[in-house]
Amino acid sequence: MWDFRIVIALCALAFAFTAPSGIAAAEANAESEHGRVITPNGVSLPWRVIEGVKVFHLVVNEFEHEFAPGLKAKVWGYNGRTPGPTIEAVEGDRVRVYVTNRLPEPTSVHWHGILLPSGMDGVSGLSQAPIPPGKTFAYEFTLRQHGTFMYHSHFDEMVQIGVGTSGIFVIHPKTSSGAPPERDFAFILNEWRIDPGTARPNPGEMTDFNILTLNGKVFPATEPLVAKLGDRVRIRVANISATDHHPIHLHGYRFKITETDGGPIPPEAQWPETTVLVPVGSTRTVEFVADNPGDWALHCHMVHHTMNQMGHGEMPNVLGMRNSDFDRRMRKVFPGYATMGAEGMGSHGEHVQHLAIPANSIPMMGGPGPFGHIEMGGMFTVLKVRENLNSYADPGWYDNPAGTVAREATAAELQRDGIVEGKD
Amino acid sequence: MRVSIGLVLTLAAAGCSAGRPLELSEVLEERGVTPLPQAATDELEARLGQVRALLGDELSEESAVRIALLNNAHLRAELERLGVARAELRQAGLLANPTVEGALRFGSSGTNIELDLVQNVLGLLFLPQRLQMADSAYRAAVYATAQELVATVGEVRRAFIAVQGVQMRREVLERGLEVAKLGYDFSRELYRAGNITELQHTAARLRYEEAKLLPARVASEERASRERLNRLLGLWGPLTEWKLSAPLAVPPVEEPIATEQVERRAIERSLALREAAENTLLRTLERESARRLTLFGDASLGGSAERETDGEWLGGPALALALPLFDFGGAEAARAAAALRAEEHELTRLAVDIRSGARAARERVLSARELALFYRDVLLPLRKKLVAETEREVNAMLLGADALIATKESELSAELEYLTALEGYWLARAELQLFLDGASLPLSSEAK
Repeated sequence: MWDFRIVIALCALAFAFTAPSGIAAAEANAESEHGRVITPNGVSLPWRVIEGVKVFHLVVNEFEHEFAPGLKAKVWGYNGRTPGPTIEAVEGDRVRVYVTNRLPEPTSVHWHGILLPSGMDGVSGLSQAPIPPGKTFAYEFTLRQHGTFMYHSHFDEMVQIGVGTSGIFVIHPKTSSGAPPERDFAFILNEWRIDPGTARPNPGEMTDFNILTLNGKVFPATEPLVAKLGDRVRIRVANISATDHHPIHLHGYRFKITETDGGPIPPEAQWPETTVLVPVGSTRTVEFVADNPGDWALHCHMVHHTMNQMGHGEMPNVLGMRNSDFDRRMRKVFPGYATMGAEGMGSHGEHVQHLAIPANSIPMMGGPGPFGHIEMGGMFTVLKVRENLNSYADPGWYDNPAGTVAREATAAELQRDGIVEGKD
Repeated sequence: MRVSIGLVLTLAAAGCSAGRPLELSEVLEERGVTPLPQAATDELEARLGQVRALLGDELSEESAVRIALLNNAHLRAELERLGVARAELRQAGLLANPTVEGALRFGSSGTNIELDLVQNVLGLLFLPQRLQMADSAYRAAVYATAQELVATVGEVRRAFIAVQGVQMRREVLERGLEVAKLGYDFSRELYRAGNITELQHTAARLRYEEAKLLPARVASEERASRERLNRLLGLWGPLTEWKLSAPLAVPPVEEPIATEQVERRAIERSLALREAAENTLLRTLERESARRLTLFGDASLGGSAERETDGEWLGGPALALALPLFDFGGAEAARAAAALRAEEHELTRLAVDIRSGARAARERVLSARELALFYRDVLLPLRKKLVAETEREVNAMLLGADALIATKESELSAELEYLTALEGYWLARAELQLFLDGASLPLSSEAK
């Protein structure tokens, strides 16, 4: 019987001779019998095995990142990505991670939630000396657990994490009672302050964030999660936000919270939920069977966290204002003016398609959907469950069976059921 | 009695002409000032008809100047005073009339008749000098009158500019008031919807009400400016309802006269200097003739005849002469000399003041120009860009209508400041033009 480690090593050797070193696509990783994580909008970090040690290379640098079409900013991250590539390894692996610092200031990497020697913990000044700009440090330790963890900078955290230096670290169990789930998704949540018209996050922001991301993206740029009907689905959620916890809600399903970054939760203690609260600095893993076909919203339930670049405090509350005459007179002075928000803000995303907004900024919310504009932004994506799938590529919008779509009630229906519009 | 009529006639004819007198129109044309209208007339209706024609549909700066030259009562008075000076010049060329004296004495033996006929001969001797002095005085009067005309033309131009400026400012303020009303209406709607506090709404109302103050002040300033122009143009009644819509132009790319030429031109063209020069010449002539006039006093030559009571006529020449026994003319000479020196000092002072005034006027033009162009080329475009960028942020629902309105109000404030600077430039230009045309501001007026 093949020792799986030999299989992995052979595959890694093959990769070593064929794949570019350091920064390469996630598909360079071999399929593992222990599971493979899908990082929507992201990749996994390739590795090679050198004398039995899984070797990874992270390069910390500044680069331009697109949060959604129309909004780019200069951020700091790993291997040209924020979040950095997901590190996948197996419990028991000896891992060696080289970290090359191309930032203008020192850095270090903390392996959040991972049990390791004190000197490998990555707290600059406590565990190790900081990695000076231009230098490469090596971290090496043996993985003694499995679960969902994070890695992030631990030098000048407020700035470096605030502008993007974080990633997911998944340790697959060496043995498990069953096969890994068919679909294993990983997200890391983060929050940013990027004022419209600017092109760099403000790491000094403490409370008023305006870009909230799933794997570094905001809706409508978040990739959907695709599953076949009947797939077992695992969703790992890590929260590296500066100050906000996030209640992640999934429509159409209830799930069990099966893990924290402290370890697996015994089945009898697993908490049933439709919303999992992920505190700052924590991970939570949920699992369910995709037995309900359709397009299901998956989002943070803090309502401001599903908005993009909204102004807070400087725009007056115009809800309820009568604006038709006012707008007509304003247009004599400002020809393109229109009061927005007097009847709510839902139509803003459509309005700005023909209005000028500050350069390098995106509408507050909105992306195309099968029934018009989806008035969401920020931490919002869609779980797409389909009965017949040939691949896990985006299958497009769900084709609802007849009679299962909410629509305007007909007069006959109203009459049949004694509904008089306008009367309670 | 034999009176030499021929002598009288010769003497009378001798002193008329001292050469062609200086014409006011020549002096004005030399300075590019519009000549007096050919059809100037004392008939009121005819003159008013010309004024109405010049007013036309719109008043222009040039038509305002022509109306002033035609209709300004002060200028018309000045022209009459020049007529007085011209008459005095003519008078200076005339000999004094001879004097005839007669007496009848009735006696017991008959009637005695005495006849004397004398002519002042000193006047004849000093006639050339007297003519010269009168000519200088007349020329001084022409220059003085020309100064009044040129100064009045300058006043008209400045008053016209002031009306243009205040009109443009009033229009901007009217737009500003509309924008301020939008701000108040926005607040009123939010208050009605329950979205702002009483404090916030009251503050918004206060801003709007305060915004009414400046337009009201400027409207009053506009009326005062129009009246000043009406006074200069001599207008009243329906004639004061003229319209003026030409805006103030932007400063030209280059100033029409270089700094180094300003001082020279101001001196060359200065009417005050020419008047002062004529007065100096006059004092020189007075000094030259002062002692002689006093020494010789009065001298008359003529004939005397008498009929005795017995009927016999006696006749012969007569001479009257003032004897310089007590007054040798020294005091008069000293007075004339002192007056001349005073006049010379005044001439020097005037030249220094004109040079300095011209330089200062030029500097005011340059700095006013720089300020106006800075507003136009830097500040106003930035203000407009601020409004455009604010509008983008409103579209992105980052800012509200109140922020947009406030930014627009700031843009209009900058536009107001620009117009003030632009008006200041053209007023400075008009003041400089006064120097170049030969008039000049009194130094005290340069402080305003």
